[in-house]
Amino acid sequence: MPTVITKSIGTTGRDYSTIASWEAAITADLVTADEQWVGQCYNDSEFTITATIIIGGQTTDATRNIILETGSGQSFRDHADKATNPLKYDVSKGVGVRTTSNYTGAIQVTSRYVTVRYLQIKTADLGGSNRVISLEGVGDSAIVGDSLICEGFKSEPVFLFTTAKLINSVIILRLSGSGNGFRWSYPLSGALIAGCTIVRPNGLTIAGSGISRPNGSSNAEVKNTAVFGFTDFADATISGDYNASDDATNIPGANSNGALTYSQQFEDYSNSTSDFRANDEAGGGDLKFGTPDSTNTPDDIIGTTRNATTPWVGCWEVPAAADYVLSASAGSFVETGSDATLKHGYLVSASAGSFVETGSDASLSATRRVSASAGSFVETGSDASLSTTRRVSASAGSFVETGSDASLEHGYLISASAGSFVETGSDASLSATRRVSVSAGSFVETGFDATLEHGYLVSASAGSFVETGSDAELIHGGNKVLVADSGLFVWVGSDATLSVTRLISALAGSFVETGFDATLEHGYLVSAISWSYTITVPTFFVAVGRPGRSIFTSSIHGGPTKSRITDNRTDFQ
Amino acid sequence: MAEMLISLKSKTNAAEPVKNNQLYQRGDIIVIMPDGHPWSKTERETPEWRILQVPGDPESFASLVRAEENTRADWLRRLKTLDLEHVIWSTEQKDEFDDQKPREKEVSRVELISVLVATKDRERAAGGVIDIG
Repeated sequence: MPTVITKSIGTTGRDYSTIASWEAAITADLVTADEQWVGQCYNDSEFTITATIIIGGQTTDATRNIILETGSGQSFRDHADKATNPLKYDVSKGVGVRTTSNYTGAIQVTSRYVTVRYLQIKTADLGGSNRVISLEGVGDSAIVGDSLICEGFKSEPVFLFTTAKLINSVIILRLSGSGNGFRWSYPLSGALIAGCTIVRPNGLTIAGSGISRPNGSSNAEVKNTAVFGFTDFADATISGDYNASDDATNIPGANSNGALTYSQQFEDYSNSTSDFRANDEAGGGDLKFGTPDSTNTPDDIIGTTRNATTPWVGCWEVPAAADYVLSASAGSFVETGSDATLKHGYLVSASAGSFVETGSDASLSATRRVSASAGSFVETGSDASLSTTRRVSASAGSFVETGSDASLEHGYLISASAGSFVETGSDASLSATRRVSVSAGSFVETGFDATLEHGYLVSASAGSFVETGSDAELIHGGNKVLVADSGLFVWVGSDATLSVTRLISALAGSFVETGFDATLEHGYLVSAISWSYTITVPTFFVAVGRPGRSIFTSSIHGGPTKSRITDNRTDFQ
Repeated sequence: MAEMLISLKSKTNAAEPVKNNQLYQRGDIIVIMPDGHPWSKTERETPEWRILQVPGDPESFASLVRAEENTRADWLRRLKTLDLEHVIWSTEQKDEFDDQKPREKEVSRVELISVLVATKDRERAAGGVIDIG
């Protein structure tokens, strides 16, 4: 085993105050010296540099190698809020390396077997080519860039050569117009980009390719990588699969998706603010279709373990929700300082006692429910507004509405899909033109008079309307009418008594009595005040008054005041 | 003001001499930082390093710390270097760049003209360079 020489780098009592001086101290021939050198950066202050940090000139191998990383707890991936911090260069969240001169790249690696990881790196928005990081080892270089946040203002801020690998990193190109996100020069078989996010933020003019491969082998592999904000995914054929983009040009792999909506894939894709954490599925994110890669990307840019079956494409893994409990067995649980988001399908519940939400509005999105699977849900103290087509329902037990008016808008129903709807305990007022109807079963009105205003009907559109238990009176005061618009008005089952001076009349057309005997009691008239009446009997007509006086005829016709059958006398014209 | 960390001694890689061009040589500026930079104890006390304080801001010396483009195996880590034998010193500082002698000051101040006069193109060493430190 080689001797591991670990040195701290920072401006507060560390071994070296600059990365360049640490690199200058590295033994030139690590293999002969049997040494591994590890430089650990501390976020004592931002590493501002005026000359490119070069890691080069050393002789290395697989175990006598060089690692540039962050000290314990110093990286953005160690930050307490790493899961919610916006994914972009922010030195307040961890070690940051930033250039301040033009024509100055940040980090250039030319020695083999070098790993650079966990850093944020940014170049100055100044003139001249200035790469964020160049991994340029010759041959089988075994150079790895791992979990890096790279921000640049010039085309191709990240450069890979031969077999260098870039994994779990985000490249943000803040350049409007012509320019590529990444340059792959002379890649050889074994070159790899895995689990990376390469973006040009929204608000900058889309152009160029996310990945530029001007030369070298098309066997260079890109997988589980998201490229957004460029005209093309790549400018040449490359191999790989499970990639995502808003463009499909040269996107490799049958399982890649090149027609995704950029705005939906990240927390904030704008250039002014930026947060390139992947958006979860509830937020419209579509990147959960990657393939597991336990060798290169067992976890993501902040160390979140990748999904074992379907990881997210890009550098950010949206963790699957687990059955975690925030509980306060005594006192209260206080969540402050940031929003708490409940994922779809998860509950805020009080298995005993009550759950109290105070101090701010709680918004329920469409199709979400406030439910009480047992007992009751109580909403007190403020108005609850239900938008149109939304329901307050009690699938079992009862729904109780108290304390204020409930208004039903026109066209909406209080319905009971099964059983019956019962209104008890207080008057129910129906405004003019409103109906109380039952499409099936029966409607029961009890305890009070029901008054029908003029022009309204008591009707049975099918079957019959039954009035039982008390007299039904048609009040005089106009021509009250029992009407059958079509068919018959039928009176069956009992005698109908017409009081004196009452008429069975046909104001228009005719009054027809058919099928049964008509018996006129003594002193009553069959009259036609206007026009005619017709009495038709199949065999004979009997006018009952004095016994023995019968007139046998098949019909009797008479006009006003001229045709009458009276007691003991026939005056027939 | 700017402060430069200078290499007094050339590094060599016996296993791959061609890489000597990528290692710091005597007179190379390792890094330039603003005046008052908190150099570490190691940086202040490493015998083969010196810290020079020079008038000007770090960006104005950016050309002294540029590397050659990596287009050939023997590319140069620095295109410019300082000819330390030609830095103009006062009498009491004449041994300032001797890594075999203890340094008298943690930070040695030199005039800008001294740096400019001593600056020269770095030479490429085919197959290696000779340690002249």
